[in-house]
Amino acid sequence: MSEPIIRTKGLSFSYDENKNPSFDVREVHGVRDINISIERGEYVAVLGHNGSGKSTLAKLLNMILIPNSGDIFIDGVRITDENFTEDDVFDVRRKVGMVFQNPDNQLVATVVEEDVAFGPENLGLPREEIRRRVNSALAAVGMTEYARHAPHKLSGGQKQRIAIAGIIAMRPDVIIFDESTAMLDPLGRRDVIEIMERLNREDGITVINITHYMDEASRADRVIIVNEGEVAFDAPAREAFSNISDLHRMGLEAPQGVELMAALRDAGLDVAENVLTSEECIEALNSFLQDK
Amino acid sequence: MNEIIRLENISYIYGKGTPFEKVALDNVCVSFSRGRITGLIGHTGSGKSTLVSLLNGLLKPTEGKVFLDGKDIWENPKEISSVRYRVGLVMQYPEYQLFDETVRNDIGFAPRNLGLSEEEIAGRVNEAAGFVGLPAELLEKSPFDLSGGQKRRVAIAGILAMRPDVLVLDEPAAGLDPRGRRDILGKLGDYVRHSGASVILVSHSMEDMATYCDNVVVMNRGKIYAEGTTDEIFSRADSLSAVGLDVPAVAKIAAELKRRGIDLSGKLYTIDGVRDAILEYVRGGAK
Repeated sequence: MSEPIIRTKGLSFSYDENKNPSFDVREVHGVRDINISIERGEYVAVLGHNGSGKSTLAKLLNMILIPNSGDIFIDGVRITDENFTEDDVFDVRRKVGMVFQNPDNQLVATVVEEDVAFGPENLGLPREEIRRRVNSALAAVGMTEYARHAPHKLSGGQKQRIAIAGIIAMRPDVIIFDESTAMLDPLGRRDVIEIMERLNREDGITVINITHYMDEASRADRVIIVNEGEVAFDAPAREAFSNISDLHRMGLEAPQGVELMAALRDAGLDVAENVLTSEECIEALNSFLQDK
Repeated sequence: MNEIIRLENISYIYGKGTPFEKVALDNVCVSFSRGRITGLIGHTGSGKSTLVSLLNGLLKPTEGKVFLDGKDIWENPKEISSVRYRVGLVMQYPEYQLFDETVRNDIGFAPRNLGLSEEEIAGRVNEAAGFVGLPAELLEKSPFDLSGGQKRRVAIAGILAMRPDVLVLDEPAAGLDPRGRRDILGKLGDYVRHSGASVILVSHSMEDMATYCDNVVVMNRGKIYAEGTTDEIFSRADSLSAVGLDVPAVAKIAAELKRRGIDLSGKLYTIDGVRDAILEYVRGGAK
């Protein structure tokens, strides 16, 4: 079997031991003894309450933070190697791209296509190659017609699409979306999710979606729940949402359809247990109620 | 009359007279009542942020009038700052606006500017902190030592301490986990019942609108697209989809079951509402 694209071994990080005034991280959990393995092409959602440590984990994976102990392997390479040079770090960040929450904090240029070109330019690629990458990245997020626009005049959803294009232009193996839809309206959210899933499905990019939206998480193949700095759950989405009381205890919820079915069971109705999507919920309730 | 604030024939044009002229609001008439939580929804660019900025005089209407308690707020432009104490605006990510050395001073900043006595300020700080569920021991801490959710509460308390007649919150739960959302939004109901203020909640979350609001105003392309009780608005799912908005997932489930001939009735847009409707249906059928 091939090497997983991401693998961590006993990964721990504590903010107390890394006093750095530029990080506003007090009362945020670090992470403790994280052992996860993500295969190439997987679509993974990461859930956890505010301060649970899920963003810390993401920042460790592309070396924004350096762990206190434990190891991270990206595509088989141990990135926690103390002999890592700046070039090696750069290479990790090219392989593991990150899209953040606030669209306004991620764009650097005054013209959309220049912003998308920022990463490839820093890779020192030839001009024609940069051009090709920028064009195909903008096409991939459906923003070709905005190539010459000013980013600050775009909507939040459009800005996020530009931020994604900037990552795609680096040809990453993994894209981590750190609550990238939190500030978007429903349409903007839908666009970003569609792009995320298309990149995963068609281009084989490994997608890690950190989110507070349970309906988003339920679309992933696999759900990792981080609680108080530890991996509390790592299973297919259907299993992750089957234990409502555990989710509630960790400050989380299930998608509305799943919550509804659980509420009906609590009220004494013998409805199906194993539903995940709204469609399944409709079918299950329909067959249950048609006989009544 | 229960109306506290009213916009009459309001238009707002950004960059009027320049090549970048953009009509953000087009002849809008709408009012908000005391003792109610009104949801304000609309996709990006629908004009809701402009409308919110007009409510407390951050923007001056290009045309039309804003009446607060029956009085035109721009009648005497020099007094516009007094309007900002009566119409409190909690902006998006308000925790970035905290600045003082202690939580107590930060929450007390506006009451102090109002020229209240120290005793009155202390009372208001305690009351506001209580409303948002901040434990008393946090009052002497630096706001920058708190978690994101706690900072958000401090920022909201800072507005509550002005005891505004109208409280406008722009995405107060953005970025919070489900428990944090429930905590903060649930407190708004308590605040309205206690103070009788009018609360205007701007959010993209239809689930939150359905759960916490009494009334809903829907905006689209600078106009009021629909307004009514939460019941009325969420029972018209297709008209919301037509303007790029969505209904809660559970409302879609209920609508599809009805379409298939299962006769549900009640508040078919919250989990509890649909649960009750299904239980009612099952009981009715068993008779």
